[in-house]
Amino acid sequence: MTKNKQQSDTGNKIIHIGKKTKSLIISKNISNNYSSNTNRNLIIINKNSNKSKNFTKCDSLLLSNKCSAHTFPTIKIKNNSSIIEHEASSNYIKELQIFFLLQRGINKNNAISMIINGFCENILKMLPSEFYIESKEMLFINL
Amino acid sequence: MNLLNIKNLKIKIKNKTIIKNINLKINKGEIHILTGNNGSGKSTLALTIAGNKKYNISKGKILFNNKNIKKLSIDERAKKGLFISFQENIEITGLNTQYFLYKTLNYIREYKKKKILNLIEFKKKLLKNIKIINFPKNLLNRSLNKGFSGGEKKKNEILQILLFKPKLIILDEIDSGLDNKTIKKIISIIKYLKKKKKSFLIITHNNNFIKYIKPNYIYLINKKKIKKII
Repeated sequence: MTKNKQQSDTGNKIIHIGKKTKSLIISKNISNNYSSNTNRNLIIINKNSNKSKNFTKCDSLLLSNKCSAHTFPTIKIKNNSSIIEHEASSNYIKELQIFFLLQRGINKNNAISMIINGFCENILKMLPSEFYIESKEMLFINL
Repeated sequence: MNLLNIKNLKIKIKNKTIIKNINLKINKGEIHILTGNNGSGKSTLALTIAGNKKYNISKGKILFNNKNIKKLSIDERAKKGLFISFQENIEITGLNTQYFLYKTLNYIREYKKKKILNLIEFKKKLLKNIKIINFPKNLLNRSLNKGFSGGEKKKNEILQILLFKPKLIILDEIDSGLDNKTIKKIISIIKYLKKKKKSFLIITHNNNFIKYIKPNYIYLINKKKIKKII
């Protein structure tokens, strides 16, 4: 998560060595103000690791119209039987979504945090429960 | 005393007049119907009452419970008892339906200075209301309106009305795309809420729906003006 003029450049590397190995990358980033978020993934599948699978997903949420998000996947497959999927999406909070939540009697801050929490929900769920609660609050404070 | 009183209202988007000279009085326990051609400004009126900033009021005023609501924000209007069911139902990915209902109900109760419900009390209340409208239980743990069918989205709106207990309910084409059984159910719920002194402003094109609902007044919007038919 970045705000003001922060620039974050993060990434991860996965190297498949064994046969029939599977990997999954889900990365989510939220950018606000003038910030930019860059996400780099390197996926290597070695010659011997036949029938391996990888799925990469990069979602970004843009909160202002001056911020940006980038994704750079690098894929190296050295055999013919492996499968790689890559998916990237960028979202923004729609005015109608906010209007809908406001109309039901939720104030603006809570409405925005509800939508952002919804965006991160499927990765926050995988965290241990103490961290899950804390990260939810952290998101709220950062906004 | 009028619950909603619209006096000589003129609505503009940028510099274009959408409708003008609107006078509308809704008392407690009354059902008003609004009809008119597509694009005649029915939804505009509903959204203006809700407080959408896109539409500006260039003349006249809106009184809700005898108070001018011009300066109130959208959420304050909602907490005072205004509920608008939109024509397009908004989807929010990742926002659990049950969590949304629980949080919103407590925000409203907090505003009304009522006791805040815990999860168990809420669940009891929810299950009672689900039975009334026949809302499928498995949808409660899905994202709000995400992947719901057209009918399920409308049922979700009705469920929210039953839970939040607003005073004035504006339904924008609640009957479109529903089967006969669900329409009958919705009509019976509207009649039940009417007995409980809730007021309705219903936007619809369906003549049968109007016939069964037995409204107090029917209005037609034509050529930027509103006309009382009955």
